[in-house]
Amino acid sequence: MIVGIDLGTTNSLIAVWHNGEPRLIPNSLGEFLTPSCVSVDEDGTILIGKAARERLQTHPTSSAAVFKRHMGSNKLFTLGGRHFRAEELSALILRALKEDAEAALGQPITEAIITVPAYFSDAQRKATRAAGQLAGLKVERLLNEPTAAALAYGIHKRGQETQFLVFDLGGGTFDVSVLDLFEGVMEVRASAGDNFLGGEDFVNLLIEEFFKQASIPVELKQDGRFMQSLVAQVEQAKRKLSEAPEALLQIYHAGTTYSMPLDEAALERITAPLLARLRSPVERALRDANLQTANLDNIVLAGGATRMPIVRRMVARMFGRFPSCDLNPDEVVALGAAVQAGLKMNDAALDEVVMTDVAPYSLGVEVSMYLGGDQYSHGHFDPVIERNTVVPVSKVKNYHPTSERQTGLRINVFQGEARMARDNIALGSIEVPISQIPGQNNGVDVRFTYDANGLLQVEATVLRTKETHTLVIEGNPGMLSQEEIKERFAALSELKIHPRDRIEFRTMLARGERLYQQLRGEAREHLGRQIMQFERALEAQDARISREAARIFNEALEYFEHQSFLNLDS
Amino acid sequence: MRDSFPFLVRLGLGVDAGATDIRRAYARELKKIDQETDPDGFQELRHAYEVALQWLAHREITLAVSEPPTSDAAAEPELMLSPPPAPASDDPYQLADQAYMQFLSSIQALVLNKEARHQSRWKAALQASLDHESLLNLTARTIFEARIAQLLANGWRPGHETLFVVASEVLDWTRDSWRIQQLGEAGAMIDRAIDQWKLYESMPDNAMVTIKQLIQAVRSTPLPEGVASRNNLLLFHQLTDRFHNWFSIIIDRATLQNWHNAAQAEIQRNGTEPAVPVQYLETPAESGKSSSSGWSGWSGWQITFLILMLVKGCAALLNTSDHTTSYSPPPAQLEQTVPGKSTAQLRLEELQSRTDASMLAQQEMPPTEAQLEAVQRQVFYVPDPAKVLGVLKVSFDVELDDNGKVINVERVHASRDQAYDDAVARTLRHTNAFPPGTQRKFSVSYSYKTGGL
Repeated sequence: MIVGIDLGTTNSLIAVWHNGEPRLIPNSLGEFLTPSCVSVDEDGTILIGKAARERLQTHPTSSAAVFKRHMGSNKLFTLGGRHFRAEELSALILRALKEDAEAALGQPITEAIITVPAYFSDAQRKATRAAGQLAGLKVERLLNEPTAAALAYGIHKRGQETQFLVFDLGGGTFDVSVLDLFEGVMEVRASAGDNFLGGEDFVNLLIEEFFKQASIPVELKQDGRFMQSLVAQVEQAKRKLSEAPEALLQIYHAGTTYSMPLDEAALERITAPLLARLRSPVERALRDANLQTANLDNIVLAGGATRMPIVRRMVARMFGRFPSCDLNPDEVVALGAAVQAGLKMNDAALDEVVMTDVAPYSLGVEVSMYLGGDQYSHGHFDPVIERNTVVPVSKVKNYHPTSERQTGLRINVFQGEARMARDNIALGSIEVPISQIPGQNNGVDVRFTYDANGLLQVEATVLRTKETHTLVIEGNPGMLSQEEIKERFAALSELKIHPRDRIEFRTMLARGERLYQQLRGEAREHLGRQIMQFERALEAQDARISREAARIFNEALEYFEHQSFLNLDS
Repeated sequence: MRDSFPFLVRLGLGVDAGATDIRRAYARELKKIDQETDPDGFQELRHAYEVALQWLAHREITLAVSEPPTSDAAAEPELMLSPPPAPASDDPYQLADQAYMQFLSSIQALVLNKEARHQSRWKAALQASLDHESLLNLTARTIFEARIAQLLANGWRPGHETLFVVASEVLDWTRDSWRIQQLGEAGAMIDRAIDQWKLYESMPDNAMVTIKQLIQAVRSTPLPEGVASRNNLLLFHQLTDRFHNWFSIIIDRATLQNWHNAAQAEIQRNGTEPAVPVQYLETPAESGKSSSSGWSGWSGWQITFLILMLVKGCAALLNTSDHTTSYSPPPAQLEQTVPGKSTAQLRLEELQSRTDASMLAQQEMPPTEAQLEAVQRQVFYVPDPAKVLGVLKVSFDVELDDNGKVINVERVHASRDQAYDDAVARTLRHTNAFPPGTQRKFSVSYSYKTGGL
């Protein structure tokens, strides 16, 4: 059994292909969305999901979120005195999802399709695959998120001929893909994206504005607890604005209540720079696919941030029409991953469906340009695989040394669209020694192979000797070797994850602690008593008593949550 | 059935296959292949499919060309002149026009006000237009961008030297050459101009200063005959080949033509030996000291890398690449392209073999701009008002006989509208615009902006 996993910046989901359709699997709280948060509890056990998200505010130094943004980098997160890489934190999320699926399906899960932003680089993709390995999963395929969304959408339209665009604005990344569906072939025509644009950026801009407008002392930015509750407040207000015309941002600190009213118009004004950045990837994908907006039959929304009315309005203005809303944007990527799992397992229901994807960016080498005489201009970028080439693909180009005295070639590999190599992303280099014989062919064949997972392999063959060199990524510390993965897998396996059957109560307690921190005065004391009572009831270790206490405690939590949001100052 | 082509055989099709047959056959074959375990098989199938689609487009144009022009085509010539039907208020063309007119008036104000030469003012003006409500519509944005490109490609006007730099940055043409290449002939011309500009910027300081001074001299001397120094004329002669697209955007065309003539006259009088050696291409004395200068001699192993010459072993891949075959005309004549080469190569060859091209020109005259324009005027084409087509661009390889009569027309790059391609091909077939002795084979591109500029 292969599962499909949407490993998101904000939330993660897991789904399977079951009885001819994709199905989401709920976590132990009965929810499909597991927040991509990790926290280390006082006793050293690992909390994943909602409980960890609550603890971001109460225990910021032992909790982490938004680590997907640091995949493929060397950044370390310190949680309760232990260092984690983004891959490791992602692996813990994957492990929790895997356990949910095992509990639901009653069988061990060892293989998975994991989705990644289409615009993820080679290093980020490799880090995602490493995260899968660290969670004990064989990653059968890395699937581009917008392509996954397209699969979920297209599976219902498989008999039709249609052209559509997927607009995928997640928590941390933005992707656009243009697709063509014919004869059961789902063909990605073009993809474009922005790796640093997502719902989290909207929150960050609102926080900046809040600091400015409400004159919150700048030093508070260093206060982990304060910042995390601010994030929660802003997120809540942002979500509220999707339903109500206005919301009030409010936070209490050291005797002062800071507040800022927020309505649609203000939100649009504050986030205008982000909204403007949505345009260029859409433009590029459409132009690369050689299509006009009028040629599109539909616009499919994916990613939680597309729930925001300001984003939807922006989409409507860009395309001159309203996007399709019949698929849940939070779930569509995970559902698509499950469709891909079905394809991978050669499910009979998917016999007539096949999907092709593209490389979203150009890949090539640094070259020198001949100017005449013995003059060269260095540092130019020469693409070997042009962007939006259908993958898997393998291409060869032939290069020559510029001088007869040259004893070697350094092949610098880059990703990007800029004319000059230095403006693109360096992926690594190969050094190829050559011994030249005048009048002989002293060239080198450079082969780029880009597989269906979006992973690149570069090989250089010296034409005269047929000697082959493979790209060794150097100067790229953001990647783990297979050895290191093995080591870290062992270390991670020793970590205890909080038992699934008790996570529900643990989450409630975490939420209680967070509310306790937020409330003041009488309400706070009251909640404190409720928390104590609940803890005591749990100590009895009687399922019936625990259940009843949980019911009462939950009511109290709901009440105080409402209170705290309406009026922090009561 | 006749002998079929290998790519059709791969798809199990005969030479009578249509678009639906090709798509269906590709879909059928694709379902038999596991892309992950058989990437080579996949790539081979994909290649057959892409070639088949091109072959189909080519066959259609050939068929269309071999048909005689329909008599009703000439019946309603006034249709060509009538404006497109009244568009709705959200018509992208109208939106783009609105923004474009507004932009033109704002840059006019900048040009009149001499103090406003700063790039920042131009940038602000362009950004304001792009941020305007009317350009939220993506199609309108593309049309607007195409108009800016066209404006620049039409030749220098006061302030264009600044607009060129600003537009390249704001519209991301510098970083993304695909983006500008997709804007038809004007886009292809600007793309080369940006390459030339960037080449200039990667030169060593002393060369940049020399070139900069020359540009200033050319700009300030619209009539160089008898005024400009011999060194400047020779330097101009040397540089104009390498930088001609860039020059024609930032320098007035009449001035360029005058300098071109003056340089030719000077060379005929006194040959090409400069009175004082022109230094700009000399390797700096400290050659090789710093490999990071981007302009140094060779110092063995550590220097970055070499030259790309040929795209190896993939004649077929070349055929499928979407090459841009248009060259914009230098002041006097239209240059020819070599069909079937990738853009990268063309750019290089453009740098390398200008001299060859001009030698060719003495034996067989390539068609002049006026002749090509005469053909364009004869093209009868009415865009379908229901379709949003944007800028159409079609390229052909044309073959003439000794009398200048067109004997073969082959489309090498299709526009988005078959009707336009047909119309141009038909006109080329029947034109008598080329006099005897015109170069026998050449490539030509025409573009058409639907909706009217």
